[in-house]
Amino acid sequence: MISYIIRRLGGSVIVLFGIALITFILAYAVPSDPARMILGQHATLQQVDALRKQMGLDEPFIQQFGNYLMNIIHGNLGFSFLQNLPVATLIGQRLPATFQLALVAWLMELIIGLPIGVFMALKDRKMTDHVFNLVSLIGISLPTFFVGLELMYWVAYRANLFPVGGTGGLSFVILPGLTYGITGAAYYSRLLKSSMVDVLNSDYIRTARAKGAAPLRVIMGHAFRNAIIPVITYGATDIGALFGGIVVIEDVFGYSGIGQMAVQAINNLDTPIIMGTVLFAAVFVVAFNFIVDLLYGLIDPRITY
Amino acid sequence: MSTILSVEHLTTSFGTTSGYVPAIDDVSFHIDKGETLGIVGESGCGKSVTSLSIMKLLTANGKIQSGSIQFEDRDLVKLSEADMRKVRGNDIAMIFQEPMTSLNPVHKIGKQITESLRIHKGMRGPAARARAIELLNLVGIPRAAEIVDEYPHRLSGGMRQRVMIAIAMACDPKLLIADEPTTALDVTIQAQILDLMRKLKAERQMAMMLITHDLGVVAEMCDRVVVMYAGKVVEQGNVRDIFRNPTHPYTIGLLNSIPKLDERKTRLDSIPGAVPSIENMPAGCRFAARCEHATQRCADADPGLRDVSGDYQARCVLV
Ligand SMILES: Nc1ncnc2c1ncn2[C@@H]1O[C@H](COP(=O)(O)OP(=O)(O)OP(=O)(O)O)[C@@H](O)[C@H]1O
Ligand code: SF4
Ligand SMILES: [Mg+2]
Repeated sequence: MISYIIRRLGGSVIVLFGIALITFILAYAVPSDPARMILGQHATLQQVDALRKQMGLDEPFIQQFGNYLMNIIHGNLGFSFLQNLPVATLIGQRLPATFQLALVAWLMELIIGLPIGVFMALKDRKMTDHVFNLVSLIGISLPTFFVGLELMYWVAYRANLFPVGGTGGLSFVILPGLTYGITGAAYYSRLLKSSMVDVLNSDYIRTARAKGAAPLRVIMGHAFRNAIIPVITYGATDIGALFGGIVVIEDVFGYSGIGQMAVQAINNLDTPIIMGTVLFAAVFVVAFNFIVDLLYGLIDPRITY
Repeated sequence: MSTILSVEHLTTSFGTTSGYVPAIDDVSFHIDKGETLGIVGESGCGKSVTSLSIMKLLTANGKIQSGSIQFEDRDLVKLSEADMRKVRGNDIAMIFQEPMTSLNPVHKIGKQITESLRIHKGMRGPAARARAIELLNLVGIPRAAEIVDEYPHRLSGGMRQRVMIAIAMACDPKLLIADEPTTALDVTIQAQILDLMRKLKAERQMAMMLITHDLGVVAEMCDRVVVMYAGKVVEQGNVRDIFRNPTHPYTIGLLNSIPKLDERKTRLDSIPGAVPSIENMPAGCRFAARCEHATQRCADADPGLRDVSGDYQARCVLV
């Protein structure tokens, strides 16, 4: 177990290093001059050159990347070009709102997706299955901004049940969360359905039925726990990514999360923020995958580390 | 002796691209109280379909098309699914060929054994646990008090099959259906499991339907035997009669393929050819293509089951 954790941690560090390297290369390749951006159009060439030197932008690539890594290790994600604040501080400010939305969005996906998945598995090869397949396909293909705008119009504006947009308490989170739930749930239902159909055809399900178990007992007591394993893998990556901010939806609902900040940074070419938010999201994806690998042992007793 | 199960003219079909095709066709046999009936035949001849029809556990594409399955005073074919659930695991229990995959990997052994007690007898808690340990002891599992808290993957195939038997015994069934219970096990374990089943059957006066493709197992375990070929009963009767004086060329072929201790055969006389698929059943005798006695008469029409003597029938023109 301990050696597994160490190996797994080592792997995670390597993955994060790779992501840091890739984002750094991309940022390096962008044809923009940070010193010029910070100082504005009216600064002289000398001023810009001086700042470039000060920021280490004239150093060789390897040296710059080394500095970047050292800074990251010390929790320093750099300074925003435009807001002149540490990226870590900016992310920190938006953290509570981001986590709140992420959790609600994820729960919405599960609440909508999992029951549909179970239902679809039961109705396999029947007419309803085709209908649900179609609906879930539509769910997957619908652009989130479209669903978001519809909900905003009907539920917030017309029915006046929730605020139209903005950031605040739980009431501001429900609609963007629901938007994500509707568009994301279909992945869960399809994944659960196909794994459930496999499980329902297995010998131990026949054994359970031969004992006289009723369908509900067979499905919830025997099939679900076996079928949920691949879904959990996806769910971990999903919530990890959500903790890194939900780009389009935050933008549509004017929700001040990390996703919105990332979009604004991209529009402004505020590279340190872009790099910071990407790395931040990556840390969560990696962390949740790590946690879920440890959780497998609890769900499936055959797994030992 | 009174009959506990009587299968009459049972036909079960599966939906295929060319419509519903019978996998077993007009199958009739009976099992008396406390008796062991063997069902033999090569792979694909309909043994499992017969047993799954009795339990009404056919896959969604299969259905019983006609016939009756009289169990005590009920016709299982007519029973509702809810009533059928009260029979499964309670009056009729079943064990399967694949001990490695027949237990739920994520449930402890104890939980799997007590499940039918919970369903049918409402037994739970310490009483159910005590009963599970008792059942594990009954089927000869050592360290029962520890094994009850183990997961299936910690046990060998033979041990898992013992657990399956314990599960089947939980509610004291009147009939045990065992579908090739030892086929997946190695020879010494096979013998142990068969011994165990024989012992349990004798102690509990339970009837047993033992499916196998091994006539050696039939000779050792069964009172009567039904020989199936391509979805039909081709011969049935007393085990002693059939072994001494087999009538149907298929049964004779099966008997010749058993290795005998006093003969030093290097090769077994297995029957050449294969069972026809359910979609391409010949009109006449289904064994004709593989039978050395086949004539035009055999190919023209099914000979039907004919009485050889009292409780002994064979489906062959030679009778
Ligand atoms: N679910 C199913 N769908 C379609 N056809 C089936 C199905 N189950 C069985 N059959 C067909 O029914 C016939 C009898 O199968 P069955 O499983 O009863 O054979 P068996 O005698 O038990 O053989 P084995 O010794 O291999 O277990 C076979 O031809 C098989 O193809
Ligand atoms: S009926 Fe004819 S073909 Fe069929 S088993 Fe008898 S002799 Fe052979
Ligand atoms: Mg079979």
